[in-house]
Amino acid sequence: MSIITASNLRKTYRSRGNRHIIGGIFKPDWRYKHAVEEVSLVIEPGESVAFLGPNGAGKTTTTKMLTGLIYPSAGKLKVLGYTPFDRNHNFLKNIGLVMGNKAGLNWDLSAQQSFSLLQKIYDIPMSKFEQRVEELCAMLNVKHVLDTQVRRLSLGERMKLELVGAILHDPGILFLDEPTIGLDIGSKKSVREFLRYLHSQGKTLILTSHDMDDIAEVCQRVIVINHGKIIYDDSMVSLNKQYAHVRYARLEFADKVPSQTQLKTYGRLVSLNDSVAVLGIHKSEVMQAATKIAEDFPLQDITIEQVPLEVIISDLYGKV
Amino acid sequence: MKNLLRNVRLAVAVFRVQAQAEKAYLGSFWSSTVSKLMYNAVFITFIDLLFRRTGNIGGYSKNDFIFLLLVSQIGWYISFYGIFKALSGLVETVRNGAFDFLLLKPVPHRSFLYASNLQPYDFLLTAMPSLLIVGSIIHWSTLELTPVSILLGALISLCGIVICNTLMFVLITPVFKAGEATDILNIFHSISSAVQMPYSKLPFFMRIMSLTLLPHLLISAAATELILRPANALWIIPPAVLAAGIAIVVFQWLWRYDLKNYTSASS
Repeated sequence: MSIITASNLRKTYRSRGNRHIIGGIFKPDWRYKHAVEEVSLVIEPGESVAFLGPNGAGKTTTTKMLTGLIYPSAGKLKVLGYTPFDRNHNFLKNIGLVMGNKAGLNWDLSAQQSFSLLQKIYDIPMSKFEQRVEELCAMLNVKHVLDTQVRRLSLGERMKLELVGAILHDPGILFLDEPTIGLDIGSKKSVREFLRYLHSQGKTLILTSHDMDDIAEVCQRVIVINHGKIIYDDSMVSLNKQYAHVRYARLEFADKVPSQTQLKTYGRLVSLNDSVAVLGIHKSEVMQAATKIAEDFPLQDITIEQVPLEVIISDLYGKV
Repeated sequence: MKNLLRNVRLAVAVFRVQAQAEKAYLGSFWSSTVSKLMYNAVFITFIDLLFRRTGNIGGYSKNDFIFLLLVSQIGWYISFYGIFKALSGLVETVRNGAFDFLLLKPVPHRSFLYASNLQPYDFLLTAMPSLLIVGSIIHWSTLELTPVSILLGALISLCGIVICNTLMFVLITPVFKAGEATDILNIFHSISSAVQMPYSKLPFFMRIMSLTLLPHLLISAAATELILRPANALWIIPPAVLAAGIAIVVFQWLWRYDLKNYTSASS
């Protein structure tokens, strides 16, 4: 049975557009924003799915409908067999939410104190609770700050503890909204490793992030939303396959930099900044093109790589 | 029954957690305590001056008035710590997005909201000194108190608290859609002030207002009337209970309506 089934989900916000307060009372000028339009998707248990899209695309609104925080304007939605907005306790005990820029833990208490309350809220047996706190904190290397007031923790430590708090009750689905925002490289790496571990334990992960490394390292499926609609829904493998025939050649010139017109003769010009140019070239021609460029111009460095995920996603954003 | 026991356990756990959070900032209560003491000192001085010229105002003696002050203070503290703090907490959590985390917990959300905003240390340190001082000035032996009259007074106070809660919740409804209602909360201070007056002497329209927009009149003045003169004040009970019943229904409906229109702070 699918863990999430959404059919023609819509969310429309209504606001007043009146310039004049008095006039607006008698003749309201209603403006409608369609944050989500006809989103349909099916997610199976154990999948790790990335929700991507530019700012204002509708990703977070969709996630909030899936968790029952926002009531859909139209459409059908079932998560774990429940209607999320009903907030059935059995449903709530099986989901977890982490939001990168919002605090779930009590700011004035230590994480341990907050976890103790969560133990009672989720009816976690004490022995299991102690074991999970021990295990999860050891994995994320935050055992040493369990008894420190949350407001005194660094962002990285706080995020890791937020993750522990969200997963303490062993939910089947974990929703993550920008979980690595603002974290340093080391903390991001720990969080991603942890998420991969959770996925290996059979958890379903729904991740919203603008960090492509989060997506690449954690998710197997990508859903791209733009203007409230799904414009792409397939595996990461398929997504990468679409661009598998293209390579990016990053060329750093020593002194004389070719013009745009000259560069375009070798391939598709992606960017040209100071002495660095990036060309998109078919993979069967890239070595030949690179050799030709090196013969024609003084090259200081050349790097050949697969099309970065940011570029792939950015291309998709342009498709509506 | 199992659910009820679980909810009681949760309420105790939340209460404990709140007390733990308060302990981190115990040094900051002194200003509230001082301001409450000063308020009572000024009001008692005022009553004293007033009653030098007369022995009776609206059928109330000086001792009755100080008792009215005590009852209104108790009612004010209960509504401030039980309602105002909870709704302030609600507005703040809706504004900063933390309300989402409450909605995702498998708890009775309204009860959890109110329980998690109780501030037991603040209440004890701020309220108790004032209440004890006012209580010590009253000549208790001259008041004809009985357990029944006290219970009736408590009942009316409770009706007033229920109506006050619904009124405040109606007023802060914009926060669920617009994300802000902090200023509206300040109306609590207006509707809870200047309520120390004999209830039976109030004009008819003020008594109607006590069932709707000025519930603190029920919490303090009506409750005092019932405690001191129950035989003459029983007529207050039916309309107060009816108004409280309507308030409960309105509150239930409005909570569901507000959650349906909740827009949630952007990420």
